[in-house]
Amino acid sequence: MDTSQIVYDCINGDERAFRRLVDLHADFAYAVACRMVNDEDEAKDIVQETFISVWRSLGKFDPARCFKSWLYRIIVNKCMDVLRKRKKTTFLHIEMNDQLVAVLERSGNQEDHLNKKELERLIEIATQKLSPKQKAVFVLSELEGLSHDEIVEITKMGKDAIKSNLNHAKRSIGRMIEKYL
Amino acid sequence: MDQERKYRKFIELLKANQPELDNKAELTEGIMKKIGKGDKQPSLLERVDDVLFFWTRSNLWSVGMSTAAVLLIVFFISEQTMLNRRIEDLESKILIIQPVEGGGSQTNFSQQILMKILIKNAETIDSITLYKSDLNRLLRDHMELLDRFEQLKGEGVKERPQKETQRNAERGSKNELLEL
Repeated sequence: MDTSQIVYDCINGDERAFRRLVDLHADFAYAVACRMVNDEDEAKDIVQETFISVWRSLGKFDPARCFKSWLYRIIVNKCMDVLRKRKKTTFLHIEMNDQLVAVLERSGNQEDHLNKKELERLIEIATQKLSPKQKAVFVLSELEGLSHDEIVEITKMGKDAIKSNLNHAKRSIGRMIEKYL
Repeated sequence: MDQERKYRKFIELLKANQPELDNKAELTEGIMKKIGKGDKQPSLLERVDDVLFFWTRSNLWSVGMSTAAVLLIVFFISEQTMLNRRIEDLESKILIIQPVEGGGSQTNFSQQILMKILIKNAETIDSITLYKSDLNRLLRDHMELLDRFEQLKGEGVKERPQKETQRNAERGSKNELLEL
C-alpha cells in the first residue's frame, strides 16, 4: 500500500492506517528532529507532537500533495519553536574534542561510527552559533539532501534567504570546526 | 582548504551516523494512545455539526432555543386553528357555481343562464363565487321572469295570426305605394 492510500485512509479516520503511517515515517521524523534540536528526548517529544498535529490536521491536507513535504514542514516548525525557546548554551565540553578530532582526521569515513554522545557533541560544537533558520536550512539542504525548491516549500522562505542562510551556516560550521576540532 | 576538507568530512560523518530511534514501538504506542484520547480527528459530519451547531453545546442557549421552539409551535397551532375557524365561517356564507355543459335539470339550466347574465364571456370562466342569499334572490327573480314569460308566450300564440295578417296588409299597401 502506498503512502497516498494510507494518508487517504487516515483522512477517513482509520486509526490502523495512521499507525502504519507513523511506523513508516517515525524514523525519518526522528532523524530530522534529532539533527535539528540535537537532543534525543526533545526529538522524541517533537516526533510525538508532530504526529498528533498530523492526525488533527489531516482534514486540511490535500492528498494530491506530497505527504513527506508536509511532514517535513510540521517537524521543522516544531523544531524551530523548540530552538527559539531554548536558552543559548555558552559552555563547551572540551574533553571529547580529541576523539572527534581523531574521527575527522581519519580517512575512510564510511566506516567511522560515532556513538550517540559523540554525535550529539559533534553537532553541538559545529552548529552552536547557528540561528534556528540557519539550522533548518543546513539540515534540510546538507544532511537531508533536499533541493532549494523543496526547502522553499517546507520553510516558506525565499530562495535568496535560503541561499544566504545556507552560506552563513556553512561558514559558521567551518569556523567552529577549525576552532574547536 | 583544510577547513573545507574538515567541513566535508563533518557532513559525511553526520550523514553516515543518522540518528536512530531505539524504541519506535513505544513512541508509536504513545502517539496512538494520545490520538485515541480525545485527540481523534473528527469526521466531516462532525466538523460540519461543530461549525453549525457549536452554540447548542451551551446549556443556556439550548434551554432558550428549546423554549423558543415550543412557543413557536404553540403560536403556529393557535394561528392554524384560528384560520380554520375563519375558513369554515366563510365557507358557510358562500356557494361555488360551476357552469354545466349541456344542462339538464332546471337548476343547472338556471345557473347557466345566470352566468350568461352576470358574465359577458361566461365560456372562458370555469367558476364564479356568489353569496348564497344573492343567488337565491336572483334565481327567484329569474324563475318569476320565466313564469311570466311562459304566461306571455301562451297569450301571444292566440293573438299572433291576427296581428301578423294586419302587419302584412299594412306592409303590402306600403309596397304598392312605393311601386306607384
